Amino acid sequence: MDIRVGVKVEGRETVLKILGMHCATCSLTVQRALLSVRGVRWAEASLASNEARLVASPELDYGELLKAVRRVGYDVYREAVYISVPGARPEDAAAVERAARLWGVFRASFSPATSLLYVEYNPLEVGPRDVAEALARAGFKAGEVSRSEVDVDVDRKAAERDARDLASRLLPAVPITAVLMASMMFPAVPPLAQLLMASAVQFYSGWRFLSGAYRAFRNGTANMDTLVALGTLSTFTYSAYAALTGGRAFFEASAAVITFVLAGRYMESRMKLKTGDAVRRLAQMAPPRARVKTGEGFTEVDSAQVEPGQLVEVREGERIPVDGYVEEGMGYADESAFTGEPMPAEKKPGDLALAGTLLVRGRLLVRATRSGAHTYLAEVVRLVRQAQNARLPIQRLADRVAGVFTWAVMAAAAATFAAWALRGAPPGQALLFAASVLVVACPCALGLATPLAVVVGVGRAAEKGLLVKNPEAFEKALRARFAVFDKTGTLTKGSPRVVKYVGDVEALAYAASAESQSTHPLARALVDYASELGLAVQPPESYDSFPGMGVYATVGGRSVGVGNERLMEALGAEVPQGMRELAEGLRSEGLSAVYVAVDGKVRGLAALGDKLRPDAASAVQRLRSMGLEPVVASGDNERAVAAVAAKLGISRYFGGAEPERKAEIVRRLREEGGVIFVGDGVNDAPALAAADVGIAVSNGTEVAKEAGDVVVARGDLSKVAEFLQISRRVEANARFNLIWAFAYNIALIPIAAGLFYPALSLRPELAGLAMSLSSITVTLNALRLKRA
Amino acid sequence: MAVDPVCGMEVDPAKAKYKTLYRGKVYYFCSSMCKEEFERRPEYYLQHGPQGMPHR
Repeated sequence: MDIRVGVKVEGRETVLKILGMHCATCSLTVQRALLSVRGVRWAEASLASNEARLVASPELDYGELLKAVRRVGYDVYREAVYISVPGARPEDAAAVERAARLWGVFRASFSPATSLLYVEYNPLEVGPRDVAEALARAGFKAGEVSRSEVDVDVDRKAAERDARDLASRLLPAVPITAVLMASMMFPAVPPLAQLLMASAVQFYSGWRFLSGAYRAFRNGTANMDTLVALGTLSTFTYSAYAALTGGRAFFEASAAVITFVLAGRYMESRMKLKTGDAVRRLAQMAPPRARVKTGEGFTEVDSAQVEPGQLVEVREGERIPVDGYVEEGMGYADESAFTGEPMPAEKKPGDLALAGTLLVRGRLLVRATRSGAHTYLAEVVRLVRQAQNARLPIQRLADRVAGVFTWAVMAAAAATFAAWALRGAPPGQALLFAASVLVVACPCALGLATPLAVVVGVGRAAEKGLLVKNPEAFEKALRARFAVFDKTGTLTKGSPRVVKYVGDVEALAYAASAESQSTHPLARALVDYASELGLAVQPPESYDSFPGMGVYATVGGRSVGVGNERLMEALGAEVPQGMRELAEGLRSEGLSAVYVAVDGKVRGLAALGDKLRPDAASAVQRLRSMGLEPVVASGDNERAVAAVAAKLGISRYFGGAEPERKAEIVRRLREEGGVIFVGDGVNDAPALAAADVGIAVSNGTEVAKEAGDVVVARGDLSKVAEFLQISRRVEANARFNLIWAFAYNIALIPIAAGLFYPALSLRPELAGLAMSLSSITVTLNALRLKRA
Repeated sequence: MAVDPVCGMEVDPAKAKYKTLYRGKVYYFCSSMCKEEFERRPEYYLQHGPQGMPHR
């Protein structure tokens, strides 16, 4: 829709639903961000409707709008679908994405490994149907559209259909080719019969190459199909002419090329299916049925239909069908799929049970909290799938090369033909050399090189309990120089205890009451301590927390502050000299000290201590041996951080760092080299985002909400080193694939052109076989990562 | 409802992301800009009242 707004603004209008706007400044910020995008002529963000309207030139890159809004800290509401595009070749990736990038589409990314197109779009502008139609206009038939990303079978179904089609076309091609090849030596079949047989192979078995080439031609591009179609059609046409005029025909060449290439694709599609095994295995762990308690008995229902609050029975040997809390019973659950931890975890009333985990012993009644597409498992599968659709940055080079590669090959084939013809070779032989050049080139190996490594690598990492949200982290992790750790909960157990309290008991009760609303580990320790002493803890009337300082609350009508010197100062409460010295002493032992102020008077001092994780020292050591310099950044006071750093032999540390300061520290370190930040997925979000690679240690089950490129289960620091190891393997694998694909093409094209004839040459059928082997090699190599 | 001491906007204390403690009292802000402005010169705003959105 072209409209005019105001006086002079002309262009196309669009409306975005903005998330996270809550004040007038926000809408101004969003507006400014949108106006900074090239092509945007007018923009206005409204706080009331949470919408931004803008007018832009039709050439606007729609994805830039999303990036601009996200850059200033807000988000745009969008929906996502997976569309299977079975006919697209790996080297068509860019063409498919271009076709899908309609007005209203933020992101379109096609994975050659799964033949799935992932589209993020603005539902106010377009829908999946529009995208499918745009694909059809570009000649790509859109297959299944899947909105529930949990359905991992979309790519499997598409691949299986593809394999069936390949098999049915391969079946007649094999015997015909065999006969044609035999008749090359024993001229038993008359030329006209040969023509008939070869026609069947060329136009029935080889149909997908012809239609693929036509589609590419219409899009103004050229791909693998173009090369195969040109190579086989030219030899076929020449042979037909020769057969009709009594010359020497070579039908076996075109038929054999088609057979070999089809066979190669068949194997490739079978093997590619295996690359997605890990995520498919994950998705299939959720049992389809659940036994829900109804009155006295149990009724079996669809797992996705279980309502939050219902009780679900799980017997020994069964997988848990929903997320929830154990209400009754005892048992052990194998959670290795999520944590990589082989030891089954004890489950007793009150413990969290996750859908998909296996109850190896016992019987449980689980009170459901989430089911179906909302479970942790579904969320993990969704994230892994999304990550698998990404390409590594090094692929960009390959994609650029693949784009011009086919044209170069066609030029080389033409040159080959011309050179041989000029040297006086018979046209038939010159044509054979040219055909060899066409069918030996393999742009698809280039297109597949890193996508396959990413799919397998992300899947393998997920099996080890490493949730990779952004595969670029694989590449960035290898360039990192620093590993910055958060202290509380990351290097330490995160469950500190009160080791000393000085002051009156009444103040302690007030302090515990004030802290009772907080989820901070130090707060919980204080509440536990007060409860152990039998003190009454009451909920506060009002409560506020100040990161880096402490909390401030009203309890029983009195103002209570619990925190460090900065909080006391803000409260205007004088800290007595003796208490200050005591606190200093405790801190130099590595303890945390907080003051308790009631009605503006400091009345107590609590010292809290946290134990180092048993694996902290070895994890830090392992990273150091991998060439990373460990650094600690913590919100805790300088002395407590120094004590922990000293115990781990870490010389660089930063104390008193609030979340924003940590991000600043990360940014400063990045000037010296790449930074990996390891910390809490919620509290350390700014630092995780600022780092080259953010690794969030999570104890929650809301993975999607956590910041960071990688999420690992809490309590296992060795996962950080493991991630680096997988990164190395993925990177090496992708690199090997790329180098192989390049080298292969560079080495074989001159041979196919007859540069070394007659010592070394390739008939078209051998060239076709060699080409099939090259993409199979790439696929096989990527599959090696399954054992990484 | 609390009032942002810098710009004068109403802020819900239960949802406010930006707040600061000054002389034993909690102040809530609509944005980080207002909060930073207040922390720069709290006395000024407490004496003169809200002055509207800070410009930078």
